[in-house]
Parts: sequence; C-alpha cells; structure tokens
Amino acid sequence: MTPRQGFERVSPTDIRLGEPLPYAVYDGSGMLLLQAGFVINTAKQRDVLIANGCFISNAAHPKPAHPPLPVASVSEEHSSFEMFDLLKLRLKRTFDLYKHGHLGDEFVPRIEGIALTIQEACTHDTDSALANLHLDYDSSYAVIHHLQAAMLCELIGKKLGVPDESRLPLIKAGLTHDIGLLDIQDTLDRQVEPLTPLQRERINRHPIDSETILAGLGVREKTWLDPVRHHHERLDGTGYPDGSAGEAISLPTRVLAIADIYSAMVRDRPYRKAMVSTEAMRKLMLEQGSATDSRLIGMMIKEIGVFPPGATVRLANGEIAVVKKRTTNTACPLVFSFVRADGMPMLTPVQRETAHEGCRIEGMVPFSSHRGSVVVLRGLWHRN
Amino acid sequence: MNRFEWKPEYSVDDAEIDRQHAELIAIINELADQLHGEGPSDGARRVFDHLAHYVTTHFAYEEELIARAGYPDDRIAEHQAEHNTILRQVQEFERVFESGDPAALQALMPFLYGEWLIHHICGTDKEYVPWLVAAR
Repeated sequence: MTPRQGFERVSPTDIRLGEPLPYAVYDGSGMLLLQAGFVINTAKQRDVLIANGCFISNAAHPKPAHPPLPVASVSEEHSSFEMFDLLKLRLKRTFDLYKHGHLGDEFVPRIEGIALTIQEACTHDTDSALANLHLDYDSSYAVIHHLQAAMLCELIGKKLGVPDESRLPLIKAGLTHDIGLLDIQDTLDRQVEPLTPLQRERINRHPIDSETILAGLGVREKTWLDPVRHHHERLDGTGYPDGSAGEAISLPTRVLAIADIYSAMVRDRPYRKAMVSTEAMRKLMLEQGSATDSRLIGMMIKEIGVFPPGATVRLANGEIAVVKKRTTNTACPLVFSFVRADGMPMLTPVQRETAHEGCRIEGMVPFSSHRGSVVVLRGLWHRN
Repeated sequence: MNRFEWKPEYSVDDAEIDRQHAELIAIINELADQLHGEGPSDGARRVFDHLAHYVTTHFAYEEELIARAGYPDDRIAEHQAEHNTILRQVQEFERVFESGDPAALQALMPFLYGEWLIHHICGTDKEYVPWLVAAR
C-alpha cells in the first residue's frame, strides 16, 4: 500500500515488543489503527500489524514518557478499572504459560508490557486501579498479590520521586517476586494444615528460587533481580535468605518488602481471614516497626489512603458503603452506600457525604460479608 | 476496500471458527469504511449493530467448542472473562453511537483492531489451538 501524503511506513524494527508504541499507528488510508501506548507483545502480533500496512504521521512527535492508555476508552474512570481486569487475565495467562513451560523468550516482554500498563493505569486513575484490586475476590491469590504488590511499588516509588523509567524494574520485581512458589501456590492457597518440612524449606528459599528462575527466563537487570532476592530481608537482620540488615538493604527492596506484606495481609489466606486495610496498616506500623522502613509505611498509607478505594466501610447512619475515590481529607473519601441500615442491599448505590456527621465513616467492614454485591459495586466503575 | 484480510496465520485450526473470524474481520472492514472520517452515520450504526449481534453468537460458539475440546475449566473461565470484557466495551460503544460523539467514536477502530484483532484473535485465541487439534 502506498502511504498517503504526510504518513510514513513503520519498519518492524521500530516496534519494540512489550513496550508501548510511542506514536499512534495508521493504515495506508490514514485511519487510526492503534493509539500511542498500545503494547505489542509477540513477534507474530507485530507481523500482523506490519502486514496490514502500518504508518505513522510525519507530524507525530514521540512521547515516550506518558503515552495515553493502551485501550479504547470512552470514559476516563472506566479505562483504568477495565485495564486492570485485562491485566489480571494477562498476568494469569503469563503465569500459566510459564508453569507449563510454554513461554521462553516471551516471558520478559509480557511482564514488561504488564508493568508499563500498570504505570499508565496508575498515572491515569489511581482510584480505579486501587479499587479494582481491593474489590476482586475471584482471581487467584498469586495474580492479585503480585499485581497489588507491583501497583504499590509504583505508587510508593512515585511518591519517593523516582523517575518513571527507574520505577519500571521495581514494578517488574513486584509482578514476579514469588515466582519461585507459583508451582505450589495453589496447594498453599487451600492448605489449612501446618506446612510440611519440604514446604517450609521451599518458602525459606523462594526468594533465591525466584531470582534463579527469572535469570533463567532471561532477566538481566540487577534492579529487577535484587529486590526479588531480598524482599524478605528485614532492617533488624531477622529476615532471609542472607540476613542482611540496615543500610545493606536497598531502598527499592524495602519498598517491595512493604508492598509484599501489605498485599498479603489484605487477602484471605487459608489460615486467616483478610484484614481490612486499616487493620493491616496498623499492624504494619506496630509490629514491623524495627523490621521495615516506617517512613515508607507512612508514605504508603498517605498514598493509598486510610480508607482506600474499593474498601467497604460502615457509616454513622448504619449503612454499608464502598469507597469510590480518595479526597484531600483521608478520613472523608467519596463513598457510595450499597446496603441500607436495616441490612437490605440497595439496587442502586447512593453517594453519601462522609464529611457530614450523619454519614461519617465509623470503621471498615470485611468485604467477605458483602460479596453478593460485587456486581452492583463494580457497576460504579463501569457506568458513565 | 479491504483494509484487513483474514490470513492463514490467524487460523485456530477449526474451519468454522476461522470462517467466523473472517466474517468478523469483513464486518470490521465494512465498519471502517462507514466510519472513515465521519461521525456516527446511520450506515455505521447498522454495521455496528450487526457486529454486536454477530460477536455474541460467535463468542458463545467458541466457548462451547473449546469446552467440548477439553480446554481446562480455569482457562475457559479466563477466556470467557476476556470475551465479557470485549462485550462490555462493545456495549460502551453502543452508548457512544447513541450519544453521537464523534470524538469518542475515534476510539472504536483502535479497540476493534488492537484489543480484538491483535490481542484477542492473534493472541488469546491461539492458545486453545493445541486442545482443538488434540480433540480431533
């Protein structure tokens, strides 16, 4: 196809797998095919794109720092929430393919694609991204735990002022830090009996196993491998595998350690129920005081809020509500009630002003008691 | 004008699904022609309605087929979830047609082409091929 005036053909080498397109791509007639930021994961997908005639506008200026979200969207709120639905599927598929040994060279680009999308979704709409994961009770622990840890790494890293590019390796570490346990994770998720000696040993060495597996899959970045190996090290030297302490533990590793602990606490485990986020935060502060970096914990709490989006809370008027958005006042986020004071679910959630005394937030309630409402609640993020 | 054509490398090794994918691509072509440079015309709306209807039937057929082929339950659930995400986005675009917002409509082709053709047909759908082949 001959390009239209003002457009030039893209060569296959211009498209880097697993990375967002720095420019929009058009077909030969000038019709928009892919928005900037779309991620091509495999060589086959790239070939399809090239075969269909792939052009960029001469007027396009590459914007690698903040390309738009790689998804068609008609509403800003909608896209980050939806994007995390897709990310859950993509990470699950990546893990499944890895477990079946079907990945090889594709592992790294896939994880990089997911990491970039997390960064974009968080930049675009952190509230929806947080809510999606807090409201998920269907996906496996492995998927949600890794996604949540990765997202927290991104949010804390950003708060610390780490530049976009430098935060990516840490997001990738968050996405893969427990890869050494993936093959036994399903069993661990169901097991109520005490760990067997073999399982205990596997858990103790999983940071090293994860590092070895990632290196075998082609990961070379030290900034990715290092936090994975050391995410169970503790500042007071009580951690593993190397018993490092204090300054020997790098900042990115400390961030991943906190993200890992928090995201494990807020999920159901076979041996205990999920903690509500306020309880997890308090526990982190009190019990981990000397072991983790309390400055970073404070930063995380400030960033995601005392009542993070997706959290379920009881209001002073007796209603149960879900947090939709953080506001500048962390005690008074924007909420929607979905269960009346008499315990009956509402067909349509109603916005409440938590700054008003009657609708003040009294505390958090576990979402597990209200799982039946998940469809209604997700609708809050789907509707325009 | 045919912008996109079904190609043998898109094949999922099932003649009927391949036929349906080719038909979907044909509808996307027609829609692209109707949309080109314009807002939501009646013609574009008609083709889009056809697409929305066709895809529902196609997804149901595909899900049934992969279930019969012994595709693992968790992967079927995952595949269905991806279908549902696409269907939800199709519904969003139905609303866009109603509202007649030409700017929002510009996102339609990147959605159909990127999320659907490149990621789904040339990505996710390929993953069930070994099960279809084994089930023969």
